[in-house]
Amino acid sequence: MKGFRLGLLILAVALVSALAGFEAARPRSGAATNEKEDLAAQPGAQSDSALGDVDGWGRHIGLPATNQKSAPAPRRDISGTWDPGDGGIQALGAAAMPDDGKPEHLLPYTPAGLKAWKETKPSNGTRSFPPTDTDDPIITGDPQGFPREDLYELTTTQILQTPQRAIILYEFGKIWRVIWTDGRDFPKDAEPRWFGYSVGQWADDSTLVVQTSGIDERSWIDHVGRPHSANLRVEERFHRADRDHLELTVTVNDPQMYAKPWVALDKLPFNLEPANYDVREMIWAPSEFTSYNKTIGGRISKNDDK
Amino acid sequence: MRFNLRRSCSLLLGLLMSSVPVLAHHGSGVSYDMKKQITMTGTVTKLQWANPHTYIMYTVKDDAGKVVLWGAESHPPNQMADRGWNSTTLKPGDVIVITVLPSKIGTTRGLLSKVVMNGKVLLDDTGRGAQE
Repeated sequence: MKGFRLGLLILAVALVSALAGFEAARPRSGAATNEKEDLAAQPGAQSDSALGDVDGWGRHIGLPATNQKSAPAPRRDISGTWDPGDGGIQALGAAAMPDDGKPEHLLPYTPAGLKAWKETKPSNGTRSFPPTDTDDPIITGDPQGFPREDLYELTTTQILQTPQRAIILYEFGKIWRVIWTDGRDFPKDAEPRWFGYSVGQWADDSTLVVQTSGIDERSWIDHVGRPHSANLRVEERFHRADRDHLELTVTVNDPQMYAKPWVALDKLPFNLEPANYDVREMIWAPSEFTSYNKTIGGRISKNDDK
Repeated sequence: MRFNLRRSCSLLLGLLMSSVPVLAHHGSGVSYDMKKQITMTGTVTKLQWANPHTYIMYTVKDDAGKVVLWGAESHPPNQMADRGWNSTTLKPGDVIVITVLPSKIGTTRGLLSKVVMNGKVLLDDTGRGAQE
Protein backbone atom coordinates (compact mmCIF):
# COMPACT_ATOMS: atom_id res chain seq x y z
CA MET A 1 0.00 0.00 0.00
CA LYS A 2 2.88 2.27 0.91
CA GLY A 3 4.39 1.63 -2.50
CA PHE A 4 1.07 2.38 -4.21
CA ARG A 5 0.79 5.74 -2.40
CA LEU A 6 4.35 6.60 -3.32
CA GLY A 7 3.60 5.75 -6.94
CA LEU A 8 0.54 8.02 -6.90
CA LEU A 9 2.63 10.84 -5.42
CA ILE A 10 5.30 10.48 -8.11
CA LEU A 11 2.62 10.45 -10.81
CA ALA A 12 1.02 13.59 -9.37
CA VAL A 13 4.36 15.40 -9.24
CA ALA A 14 5.11 14.37 -12.82
CA LEU A 15 1.71 15.65 -14.00
CA VAL A 16 2.14 19.01 -12.25
CA SER A 17 5.65 19.35 -13.69
CA ALA A 18 4.41 18.56 -17.18
CA LEU A 19 1.64 21.15 -16.89
CA ALA A 20 4.08 23.73 -15.54
CA GLY A 21 6.38 23.04 -18.47
CA PHE A 22 3.48 23.48 -20.87
CA GLU A 23 2.62 26.79 -19.26
CA ALA A 24 6.23 28.01 -19.44
CA ALA A 25 6.39 27.06 -23.10
CA ARG A 26 3.23 28.91 -23.99
CA PRO A 27 3.87 31.52 -26.66
CA ARG A 28 3.68 35.13 -25.62
CA SER A 29 1.38 35.80 -28.51
CA GLY A 30 -0.60 33.89 -31.04
CA ALA A 31 -0.96 36.84 -33.38
CA ALA A 32 -0.13 36.00 -36.98
CA THR A 33 0.74 39.57 -37.89
CA ASN A 34 4.15 41.19 -38.25
CA GLU A 35 3.97 42.62 -34.75
CA LYS A 36 3.59 40.70 -31.56
CA GLU A 37 0.59 41.23 -29.39
CA ASP A 38 0.81 44.04 -26.85
CA LEU A 39 1.59 43.41 -23.25
CA ALA A 40 -1.28 43.65 -20.81
CA ALA A 41 -2.20 47.33 -20.55
CA GLN A 42 -1.65 47.95 -16.88
CA PRO A 43 1.75 48.27 -15.23
CA GLY A 44 2.60 45.40 -12.94
CA ALA A 45 0.84 42.79 -15.04
CA GLN A 46 2.35 39.42 -14.21
CA SER A 47 3.33 36.67 -16.59
CA ASP A 48 3.38 32.97 -15.89
CA SER A 49 6.93 33.15 -14.67
CA ALA A 50 8.43 35.27 -11.90
CA LEU A 51 11.71 35.19 -13.80
CA GLY A 52 12.41 36.51 -17.25
CA ASP A 53 12.41 39.94 -18.75
CA VAL A 54 10.93 43.01 -17.08
CA ASP A 55 10.34 46.05 -19.28
CA GLY A 56 10.97 49.66 -18.33
CA TRP A 57 7.38 50.07 -17.20
CA GLY A 58 7.93 47.28 -14.66
CA ARG A 59 5.85 44.74 -16.55
CA HIS A 60 6.93 41.11 -16.48
CA ILE A 61 7.32 39.58 -19.90
CA GLY A 62 8.12 36.04 -18.89
CA LEU A 63 10.41 33.72 -20.72
CA PRO A 64 10.22 33.44 -24.50
CA ALA A 65 8.47 30.49 -26.04
CA THR A 66 10.84 27.91 -27.44
CA ASN A 67 8.54 25.52 -29.27
CA GLN A 68 6.21 27.95 -30.99
CA LYS A 69 6.19 28.09 -34.75
CA SER A 70 6.50 31.68 -35.77
CA ALA A 71 4.97 33.48 -38.71
CA PRO A 72 7.32 34.01 -41.67
CA ALA A 73 9.66 36.99 -41.68
CA PRO A 74 8.13 40.07 -43.30
CA ARG A 75 9.91 41.13 -46.49
CA ARG A 76 12.94 43.41 -46.00
CA ASP A 77 11.94 44.34 -42.50
CA ILE A 78 14.12 43.90 -39.40
CA SER A 79 12.24 46.47 -37.33
CA GLY A 80 11.14 45.59 -33.84
CA THR A 81 12.32 45.43 -30.26
CA TRP A 82 14.79 42.58 -29.96
CA ASP A 83 16.13 40.81 -26.89
CA PRO A 84 19.37 38.78 -27.11
CA GLY A 85 19.10 37.57 -23.51
CA ASP A 86 22.32 36.98 -21.61
CA GLY A 87 24.15 36.08 -24.82
CA GLY A 88 24.72 39.73 -25.63
CA ILE A 89 26.50 40.61 -22.40
CA GLN A 90 29.88 39.29 -23.58
CA ALA A 91 31.85 39.89 -20.40
CA LEU A 92 34.85 38.00 -21.82
CA GLY A 93 34.83 39.81 -25.13
CA ALA A 94 33.22 39.01 -28.46
CA ALA A 95 30.88 36.05 -27.94
CA ALA A 96 32.26 33.98 -30.82
CA MET A 97 35.88 34.55 -29.73
CA PRO A 98 35.89 35.04 -25.95
CA ASP A 99 39.19 35.76 -24.23
CA ASP A 100 38.96 32.61 -22.10
CA GLY A 101 42.46 31.22 -22.65
CA LYS A 102 41.40 28.51 -25.08
CA PRO A 103 43.83 28.29 -28.00
CA GLU A 104 41.00 28.21 -30.54
CA HIS A 105 39.93 31.65 -29.30
CA LEU A 106 43.30 33.35 -29.78
CA LEU A 107 42.76 35.98 -32.44
CA PRO A 108 44.95 36.05 -35.58
CA TYR A 109 46.92 39.05 -34.37
CA THR A 110 49.59 40.67 -36.46
CA PRO A 111 52.70 41.59 -34.42
CA ALA A 112 51.37 45.15 -34.22
CA GLY A 113 47.96 43.87 -33.13
CA LEU A 114 49.36 41.67 -30.38
CA LYS A 115 51.52 44.51 -29.11
CA ALA A 116 48.55 46.90 -29.09
CA TRP A 117 46.38 44.36 -27.25
CA LYS A 118 48.98 43.76 -24.57
CA GLU A 119 49.21 47.47 -23.93
CA THR A 120 45.55 47.64 -22.90
CA LYS A 121 44.42 47.02 -19.33
CA PRO A 122 40.97 45.42 -19.52
CA SER A 123 38.96 44.62 -16.42
CA ASN A 124 37.95 41.18 -17.66
CA GLY A 125 39.31 38.22 -19.59
CA THR A 126 42.69 36.49 -19.26
CA ARG A 127 44.44 39.78 -18.53
CA SER A 128 41.96 41.13 -15.97
CA PHE A 129 42.94 44.22 -14.01
CA PRO A 130 41.10 45.25 -10.84
CA PRO A 131 38.33 47.85 -11.25
CA THR A 132 40.45 50.85 -10.30
CA ASP A 133 43.51 49.75 -12.32
CA THR A 134 41.89 49.30 -15.73
CA ASP A 135 42.41 51.81 -18.55
CA ASP A 136 39.15 50.88 -20.27
CA PRO A 137 38.17 54.13 -22.05
CA ILE A 138 34.46 53.77 -21.27
CA ILE A 139 35.15 53.88 -17.53
CA THR A 140 36.10 57.52 -17.77
CA GLY A 141 33.20 58.39 -20.02
CA ASP A 142 34.29 57.69 -23.60
CA PRO A 143 31.55 56.15 -25.75
CA GLN A 144 31.87 52.46 -26.49
CA GLY A 145 31.98 53.23 -30.20
CA PHE A 146 31.54 50.62 -32.89
CA PRO A 147 31.68 47.60 -33.04
CA ARG A 148 31.93 47.44 -29.24
CA GLU A 149 28.30 48.53 -28.98
CA ASP A 150 27.47 45.16 -30.59
CA LEU A 151 30.09 43.30 -28.55
CA TYR A 152 29.57 44.40 -24.94
CA GLU A 153 26.34 44.74 -22.96
CA LEU A 154 24.27 44.23 -26.08
CA THR A 155 20.88 44.09 -24.42
CA THR A 156 17.40 44.96 -25.63
CA THR A 157 17.77 46.64 -29.00
CA GLN A 158 15.19 48.57 -31.00
CA ILE A 159 15.39 48.77 -34.77
CA LEU A 160 13.32 51.32 -36.68
CA GLN A 161 13.17 51.52 -40.46
CA THR A 162 12.30 54.13 -43.03
CA PRO A 163 12.74 53.79 -46.82
CA GLN A 164 16.14 55.51 -46.56
CA ARG A 165 17.62 54.11 -43.37
CA ALA A 166 17.53 51.73 -40.46
CA ILE A 167 18.01 53.22 -37.01
CA ILE A 168 19.33 51.10 -34.16
CA LEU A 169 18.57 52.17 -30.60
CA TYR A 170 20.79 50.46 -28.04
CA GLU A 171 19.75 50.09 -24.41
CA PHE A 172 23.27 50.35 -22.97
CA GLY A 173 24.14 54.02 -22.83
CA LYS A 174 21.01 55.02 -24.83
CA ILE A 175 23.11 55.09 -28.00
CA TRP A 176 21.77 55.21 -31.54
CA ARG A 177 23.21 54.46 -34.97
CA VAL A 178 21.97 55.21 -38.46
CA ILE A 179 22.47 52.73 -41.29
CA TRP A 180 21.81 54.29 -44.66
CA THR A 181 20.02 51.96 -47.06
CA ASP A 182 19.48 54.50 -49.86
CA GLY A 183 22.33 53.19 -51.99
CA ARG A 184 24.98 55.71 -50.98
CA ASP A 185 28.68 54.86 -50.69
CA PHE A 186 31.01 55.80 -47.82
CA PRO A 187 31.95 59.48 -47.69
CA LYS A 188 35.35 60.34 -49.18
CA ASP A 189 38.11 61.47 -46.80
CA ALA A 190 35.70 61.26 -43.91
CA GLU A 191 36.73 62.29 -40.43
CA PRO A 192 36.75 59.29 -38.08
CA ARG A 193 33.71 58.96 -35.84
CA TRP A 194 33.13 56.85 -32.72
CA PHE A 195 30.47 54.89 -34.58
CA GLY A 196 31.89 55.30 -38.05
CA TYR A 197 29.78 55.46 -41.19
CA SER A 198 27.32 52.65 -41.95
CA VAL A 199 25.66 51.64 -45.19
CA GLY A 200 23.38 48.66 -45.72
CA GLN A 201 22.13 46.53 -48.58
CA TRP A 202 19.62 43.68 -48.68
CA ALA A 203 21.37 40.42 -49.57
CA ASP A 204 17.95 38.80 -49.79
CA ASP A 205 14.48 39.57 -48.50
CA SER A 206 15.37 38.67 -44.91
CA THR A 207 19.05 39.66 -44.61
CA LEU A 208 20.41 43.18 -44.31
CA VAL A 209 24.19 43.38 -44.71
CA VAL A 210 25.78 46.45 -43.18
CA GLN A 211 29.31 47.72 -43.78
CA THR A 212 30.90 50.22 -41.41
CA SER A 213 34.17 52.12 -41.78
CA GLY A 214 35.71 55.41 -40.66
CA ILE A 215 35.81 54.31 -37.02
CA ASP A 216 37.74 56.31 -34.44
CA GLU A 217 40.73 54.18 -33.39
CA ARG A 218 40.56 55.26 -29.74
CA SER A 219 37.77 52.77 -29.05
CA TRP A 220 38.24 49.10 -28.20
CA ILE A 221 36.63 46.34 -30.23
CA ASP A 222 35.28 44.59 -27.15
CA HIS A 223 35.43 44.43 -23.36
CA VAL A 224 38.80 42.68 -23.17
CA GLY A 225 40.72 45.43 -24.94
CA ARG A 226 41.05 44.00 -28.43
CA PRO A 227 42.47 46.88 -30.50
CA HIS A 228 41.72 48.24 -33.94
CA SER A 229 43.23 50.74 -36.33
CA ALA A 230 41.64 53.51 -38.37
CA ASN A 231 41.41 50.98 -41.23
CA LEU A 232 38.93 48.77 -39.42
CA ARG A 233 35.98 47.61 -41.45
CA VAL A 234 33.08 45.75 -39.90
CA GLU A 235 30.36 43.71 -41.53
CA GLU A 236 27.05 43.02 -39.78
CA ARG A 237 24.53 40.56 -41.14
CA PHE A 238 21.05 40.99 -39.69
CA HIS A 239 19.09 37.90 -40.67
CA ARG A 240 15.43 37.71 -39.71
CA ALA A 241 14.87 33.97 -39.58
CA ASP A 242 11.12 34.42 -39.04
CA ARG A 243 8.82 37.03 -37.55
CA ASP A 244 9.97 36.44 -33.98
CA HIS A 245 13.66 35.68 -34.42
CA LEU A 246 16.64 37.71 -35.59
CA GLU A 247 20.28 36.60 -35.90
CA LEU A 248 23.29 38.89 -35.92
CA THR A 249 26.69 37.98 -37.34
CA VAL A 250 29.60 40.42 -37.00
CA THR A 251 32.88 40.08 -38.87
CA VAL A 252 35.95 42.19 -38.08
CA ASN A 253 38.45 43.05 -40.80
CA ASP A 254 41.50 45.10 -39.88
CA PRO A 255 44.68 43.97 -41.73
CA GLN A 256 46.84 46.23 -39.60
CA MET A 257 45.87 44.42 -36.39
CA TYR A 258 44.66 40.99 -37.59
CA ALA A 259 46.18 38.74 -40.24
CA LYS A 260 42.73 37.76 -41.49
CA PRO A 261 39.08 38.68 -40.87
CA TRP A 262 37.50 37.04 -37.83
CA VAL A 263 33.93 36.41 -36.78
CA ALA A 264 33.09 38.19 -33.53
CA LEU A 265 29.40 37.26 -33.36
CA ASP A 266 28.10 34.15 -35.06
CA LYS A 267 24.34 34.25 -35.54
CA LEU A 268 23.64 35.67 -32.10
CA PRO A 269 19.90 35.01 -31.62
CA PHE A 270 17.37 37.67 -30.61
CA ASN A 271 13.72 37.21 -29.63
CA LEU A 272 11.09 39.73 -30.67
CA GLU A 273 9.52 41.61 -27.77
CA PRO A 274 5.90 42.82 -27.76
CA ALA A 275 5.30 45.99 -29.77
CA ASN A 276 4.61 48.13 -26.69
CA TYR A 277 7.62 46.90 -24.72
CA ASP A 278 9.28 49.82 -22.94
CA VAL A 279 13.08 49.53 -23.10
CA ARG A 280 14.82 50.16 -19.80
CA GLU A 281 17.77 52.43 -19.07
CA MET A 282 21.29 51.16 -18.59
CA ILE A 283 23.69 54.07 -18.27
CA TRP A 284 27.12 54.15 -16.67
CA ALA A 285 26.76 57.64 -15.17
CA PRO A 286 30.19 58.97 -14.09
CA SER A 287 28.80 59.96 -10.67
CA GLU A 288 27.58 56.41 -10.06
CA PHE A 289 30.89 54.97 -11.23
CA THR A 290 32.79 57.25 -8.88
CA SER A 291 30.58 56.16 -6.01
CA TYR A 292 31.04 52.48 -6.93
CA ASN A 293 34.83 52.79 -7.08
CA LYS A 294 34.97 54.65 -3.79
CA THR A 295 32.81 52.12 -1.95
CA ILE A 296 33.52 48.81 -3.68
CA GLY A 297 36.02 48.91 -6.58
CA GLY A 298 38.74 50.71 -4.65
CA ARG A 299 38.33 48.35 -1.71
CA ILE A 300 38.94 45.17 -3.69
CA SER A 301 42.00 46.30 -5.63
CA LYS A 302 45.56 45.57 -4.60
CA ASN A 303 47.55 48.28 -2.86
CA ASP A 304 44.45 49.88 -1.51
CA ASP A 305 44.15 50.67 2.15
CA LYS A 306 42.13 48.06 3.95
CA MET B 1 41.81 45.03 11.03
CA ARG B 2 41.50 41.82 12.96
CA PHE B 3 38.23 40.13 12.30
CA ASN B 4 37.50 36.67 13.59
CA LEU B 5 34.66 35.21 11.63
CA ARG B 6 34.38 32.00 13.54
CA ARG B 7 31.64 33.06 15.90
CA SER B 8 29.69 35.62 13.91
CA CYS B 9 29.95 33.95 10.55
CA SER B 10 30.22 30.51 9.13
CA LEU B 11 33.10 30.00 6.77
CA LEU B 12 32.84 27.53 3.96
CA LEU B 13 36.11 26.54 2.36
CA GLY B 14 36.83 24.36 -0.58
CA LEU B 15 36.01 24.28 -4.20
CA LEU B 16 32.54 25.42 -5.06
CA MET B 17 30.41 23.89 -7.71
CA SER B 18 31.66 24.56 -11.21
CA SER B 19 29.62 27.75 -11.47
CA VAL B 20 29.82 30.91 -9.44
CA PRO B 21 28.46 34.41 -9.90
CA VAL B 22 30.43 36.38 -12.46
CA LEU B 23 30.29 40.07 -13.25
CA ALA B 24 30.47 41.73 -16.65
CA HIS B 25 32.17 44.96 -15.75
CA HIS B 26 35.17 43.37 -14.11
CA GLY B 27 36.60 39.92 -13.68
CA SER B 28 35.40 38.28 -10.46
CA GLY B 29 38.44 36.08 -9.91
CA VAL B 30 40.90 38.95 -9.94
CA SER B 31 39.25 40.57 -6.93
CA TYR B 32 37.39 37.82 -5.09
CA ASP B 33 38.31 34.44 -3.66
CA MET B 34 36.10 32.21 -5.79
CA LYS B 35 36.88 29.17 -3.62
CA LYS B 36 35.54 30.60 -0.39
CA GLN B 37 32.12 31.60 0.87
CA ILE B 38 31.25 33.51 4.00
CA THR B 39 27.75 33.51 5.42
CA MET B 40 26.81 36.08 8.03
CA THR B 41 23.83 37.81 9.55
CA GLY B 42 23.79 41.53 8.90
CA THR B 43 21.67 44.65 9.15
CA VAL B 44 21.17 46.57 5.92
CA THR B 45 22.30 50.18 5.86
CA LYS B 46 21.84 50.78 2.14
CA LEU B 47 20.90 49.15 -1.15
CA GLN B 48 22.72 51.05 -3.90
CA TRP B 49 20.58 50.69 -7.01
CA ALA B 50 23.04 51.88 -9.64
CA ASN B 51 25.40 50.91 -12.44
CA PRO B 52 27.83 49.34 -13.00
CA HIS B 53 26.71 47.16 -10.07
CA THR B 54 24.08 47.21 -7.42
CA TYR B 55 25.53 46.66 -3.97
CA ILE B 56 24.33 46.11 -0.45
CA MET B 57 25.96 47.82 2.50
CA TYR B 58 25.30 46.15 5.84
CA THR B 59 26.74 45.92 9.32
CA VAL B 60 27.91 42.81 11.15
CA LYS B 61 29.06 42.49 14.75
CA ASP B 62 32.53 41.01 15.15
CA ASP B 63 33.71 38.86 18.05
CA ALA B 64 34.43 41.86 20.23
CA GLY B 65 30.95 43.23 19.66
CA LYS B 66 32.27 45.93 17.38
CA VAL B 67 30.01 46.84 14.46
CA VAL B 68 31.79 46.32 11.13
CA LEU B 69 30.56 47.68 7.80
CA TRP B 70 30.45 45.21 4.91
CA GLY B 71 29.61 45.68 1.24
CA ALA B 72 28.54 43.09 -1.34
CA GLU B 73 28.22 43.80 -5.06
CA SER B 74 25.96 42.11 -7.54
CA HIS B 75 24.40 42.53 -10.98
CA PRO B 76 23.42 45.87 -12.54
CA PRO B 77 19.86 47.09 -11.87
CA ASN B 78 18.37 45.73 -15.10
CA GLN B 79 19.51 42.20 -14.35
CA MET B 80 18.41 42.50 -10.73
CA ALA B 81 14.96 43.56 -12.00
CA ASP B 82 14.81 40.32 -14.00
CA ARG B 83 15.35 38.56 -10.68
CA GLY B 84 12.39 40.33 -9.11
CA TRP B 85 14.29 43.10 -7.33
CA ASN B 86 13.77 46.85 -7.24
CA SER B 87 15.39 49.72 -5.39
CA THR B 88 13.27 49.09 -2.28
CA THR B 89 13.68 45.33 -2.00
CA LEU B 90 16.02 45.96 0.93
CA LYS B 91 15.65 48.89 3.30
CA PRO B 92 17.87 50.21 6.10
CA GLY B 93 17.28 48.13 9.20
CA ASP B 94 16.36 44.93 7.37
CA VAL B 95 18.05 41.89 8.87
CA ILE B 96 19.48 39.53 6.26
CA VAL B 97 21.44 36.32 6.09
CA ILE B 98 23.97 37.01 3.38
CA THR B 99 26.58 34.84 1.67
CA VAL B 100 29.50 36.40 -0.18
CA LEU B 101 32.72 35.41 -1.90
CA PRO B 102 35.20 37.57 0.01
CA SER B 103 37.70 40.08 -1.29
CA LYS B 104 41.12 38.56 -1.98
CA ILE B 105 42.89 41.32 -0.11
CA GLY B 106 40.94 40.83 3.09
CA THR B 107 38.73 43.89 3.08
CA THR B 108 35.12 43.69 4.23
CA ARG B 109 33.83 43.50 0.70
CA GLY B 110 32.44 40.55 -1.21
CA LEU B 111 30.75 39.30 -4.34
CA LEU B 112 27.13 38.62 -3.49
CA SER B 113 26.18 34.99 -3.68
CA LYS B 114 22.95 34.63 -1.70
CA VAL B 115 20.54 36.76 0.35
CA VAL B 116 17.81 35.44 2.65
CA MET B 117 15.39 37.61 4.63
CA ASN B 118 12.70 36.27 6.96
CA GLY B 119 13.32 32.81 5.58
CA LYS B 120 12.72 33.92 1.99
CA VAL B 121 15.52 33.58 -0.57
CA LEU B 122 15.75 36.95 -2.33
CA LEU B 123 18.71 36.07 -4.53
CA ASP B 124 20.61 32.86 -5.10
CA ASP B 125 23.57 33.05 -7.45
CA THR B 126 25.42 30.09 -6.00
CA GLY B 127 24.40 27.93 -8.93
CA ARG B 128 24.82 30.46 -11.67
CA GLY B 129 27.63 30.58 -14.16
CA ALA B 130 26.40 33.21 -16.57
CA GLN B 131 28.92 35.88 -17.47
CA GLU B 132 27.04 38.97 -16.46
